[in-house]
Amino acid sequence: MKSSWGLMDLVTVATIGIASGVLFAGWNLVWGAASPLFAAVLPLQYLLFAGTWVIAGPLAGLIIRRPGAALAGEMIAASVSFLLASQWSVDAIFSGAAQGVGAELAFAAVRYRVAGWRVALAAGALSGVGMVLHDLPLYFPDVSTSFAAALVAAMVTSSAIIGGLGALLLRAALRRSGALDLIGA
Amino acid sequence: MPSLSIEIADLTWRPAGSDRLTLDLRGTSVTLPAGGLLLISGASGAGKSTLLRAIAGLLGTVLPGELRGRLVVGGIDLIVAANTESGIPRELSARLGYVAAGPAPTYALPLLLDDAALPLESRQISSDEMRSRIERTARDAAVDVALIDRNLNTFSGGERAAAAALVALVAAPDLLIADEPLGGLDVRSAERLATTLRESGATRVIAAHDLSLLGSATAQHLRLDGGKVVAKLVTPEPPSEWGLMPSAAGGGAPIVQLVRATATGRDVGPSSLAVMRGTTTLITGATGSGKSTLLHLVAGTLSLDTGERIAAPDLQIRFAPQDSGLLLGARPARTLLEPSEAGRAEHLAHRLGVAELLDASPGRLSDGERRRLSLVVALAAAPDVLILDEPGGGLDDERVAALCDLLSEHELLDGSAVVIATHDPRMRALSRSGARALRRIRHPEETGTSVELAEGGLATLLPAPAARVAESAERLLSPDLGRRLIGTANPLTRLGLALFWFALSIASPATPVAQAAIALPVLAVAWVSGVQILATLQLALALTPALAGIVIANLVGGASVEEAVGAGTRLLAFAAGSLVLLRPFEPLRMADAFVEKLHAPFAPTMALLATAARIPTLRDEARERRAIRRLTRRGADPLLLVDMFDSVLRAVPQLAIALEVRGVRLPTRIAPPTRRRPSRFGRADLLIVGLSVGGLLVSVARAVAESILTP
Repeated sequence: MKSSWGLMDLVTVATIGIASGVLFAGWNLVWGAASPLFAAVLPLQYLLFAGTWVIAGPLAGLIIRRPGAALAGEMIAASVSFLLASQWSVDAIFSGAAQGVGAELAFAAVRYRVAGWRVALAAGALSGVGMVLHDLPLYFPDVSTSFAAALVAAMVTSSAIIGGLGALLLRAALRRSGALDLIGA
Repeated sequence: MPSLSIEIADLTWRPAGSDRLTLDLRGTSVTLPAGGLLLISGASGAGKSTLLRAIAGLLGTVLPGELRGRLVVGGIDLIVAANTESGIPRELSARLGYVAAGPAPTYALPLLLDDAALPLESRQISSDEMRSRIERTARDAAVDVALIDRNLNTFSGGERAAAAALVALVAAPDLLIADEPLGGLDVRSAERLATTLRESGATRVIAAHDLSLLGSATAQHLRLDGGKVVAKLVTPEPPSEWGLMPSAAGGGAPIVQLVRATATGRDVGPSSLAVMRGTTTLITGATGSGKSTLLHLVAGTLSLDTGERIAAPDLQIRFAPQDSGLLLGARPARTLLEPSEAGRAEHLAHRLGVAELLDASPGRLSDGERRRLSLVVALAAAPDVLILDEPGGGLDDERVAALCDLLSEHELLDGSAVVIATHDPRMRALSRSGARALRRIRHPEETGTSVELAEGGLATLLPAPAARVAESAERLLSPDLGRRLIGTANPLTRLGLALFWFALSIASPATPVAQAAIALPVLAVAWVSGVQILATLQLALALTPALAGIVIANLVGGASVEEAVGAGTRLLAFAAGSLVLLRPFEPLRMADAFVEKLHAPFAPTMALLATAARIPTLRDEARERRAIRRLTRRGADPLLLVDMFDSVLRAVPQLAIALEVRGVRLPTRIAPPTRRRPSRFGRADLLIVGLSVGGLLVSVARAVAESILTP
């Protein structure tokens, strides 16, 4: 693989980021609509829903194995979701940065050479850690320790499974359809 | 003009993920002197586009795969570049003009003026000179100057082709590579553009099915088939023209009839047309006259704005659009067929030479192969109404003849009404003796008169006094008033302030009062910086459940009522402070500001911007695809996540090539790009910064007062 980023890589990251961002914006509204239902059991809502918001990082990292791809993918997605519709406003970008750094660390740890299920799972889980580090102090500063622990477990598990393994499944489907051959991934 | 020579020998190309060579020129060598003309013809899928992309330096660099043999362009060894570079080598890129084949969008930015300015910006042409150069080139490329300020998504297939030629020519390239540059153009426009191409001093490589307009005494000519050269000639092929066609009357009562119909969102005058069973209706007309829109109206895939569409009940309609991808999508052609249609489809596929491709994934097929498969799908049902948009596009003479034979047969389409829009003179074979009844209708001359569509707003729907009130309300709430008074603030200022208000909201205590004190001045700032208040309120309404969720969740988590409400109002202050400030979102101005003021690298910024600019196109395409697929029983569900990613990723190579050949990788830190619209700071920026500082002071004063008053 050539070392420098070409336009194919740049447009691919932008495309994954933007398509995911459109998905996120829709998901924001789904989350919002579901919020009153889950208000009494918020960790459950995180477990079922939150992982979708980190899928762009693992997906971009799995498809384009270059330094920065996962972080850029997640940040573009977060920015797009913010510009389209997000109750978290500009904070969505900071969330995206925290989650994207998590995913990026997983790919950096294997020097961008491997992209199997272990890396995908790790990228998802670390995105979840990013989500914890960003969300907990900002949105839940005064909650009890046990409630916080439940939130942490829900965020990391959801991110690993929906975000990490979900991205892996999506990549497999795109490989089957031939779309990845066209962009050389 | 200095131009480039080209040497090709034993060239082969194997795309990534494929085990066969799609270009195999082993045993062939070609040398084209500087300023020479090389014409390439051949059947669809013969490898013409691949050869052009090779000479443009795109193979192995932008497009993944394996390039071997010898290929030297202007002294640059492109075989070496294919293995080392991730884009066209700079020396070549700076001198290249490239026209990609349609009908899928080949532009980088949706406004023609922006798209045509991109090669000039990349090459550091001064912004004063850009407009005049673009207008001058427009005339050579047969582009109506009025189109320059318009969105390419509203262009017809032919207008897009001419626009693509304009963009390729605008920077006066030394090497001009054109893939079907005359595709979809009417005869006059095609002649104009062909003259420009013939008389250009650049080294030219042009692929076309119909070489009659492009030939010259000194041109070299390669004929390809199956990726191989089958003939090297120096004489152009004999010219062909529209002959006089009999305008035979059709029989029977109309089954679909349009009465002064216009389409929502299309700038095309009212059209009237009737189609009858057993009759072929051939619609011809100038580039951009709205033939495709007319077909959509007949098909019922575009909604009517005015006029009437009368159709017999329960008609089975099939539509093969100009962009065959809209019908085929990501699935093999067979998945679109009813089981009962399989036998007929096999027969049709055999006659059109795509029998072995019915189960192939469309991703790896050439444009011509996709076209023929989409025709098979459309014809297989023996529909009541068969609608074909430029069915000969991308097909060579032999295939067009085979298609005309099929469409002329009485047995095959016995009770069908066939409607075909085309520029292609080769389709005249439909009128041979013994064929189905054929009517030729020129659009818009024989379908109606072209009129300007009236500008509509809320006010046009209401009686006069109410309309005046509505008008002034619209004016008051629209961003135009603020804009007229002080102009629009620079996106960078708005972004900076958004971050500032966000930080202030975080730093302030999460109490309802403190957060409201932040939200209010921001709303004032937002209004003068051009925010559409109505749209923002709608958005806020949609987000209400989320607010409620946060408040309740905090309560459940053990926070006090005041803390929980505070967390909710903080969210509101975020929204007021940043979401609101960044509307209206102007991606182009933002890119200008980032590149010019912050020295953001040009290629990534443009890649992001160009991709973002495709969002509305993708949405329209998804809608159009759904409408066309709904006509066939089995359409893949376009809402599926995989389908969405699949279709957006398929558009990536086309866009990457568009950006690459416009030279966006040329600018460097030392030689930055010039911008068509320089990014400036003005009165509006001063005003909103001033208001924000005022807001900060109020916030601080309130906090101080509170700490003094509370014991």
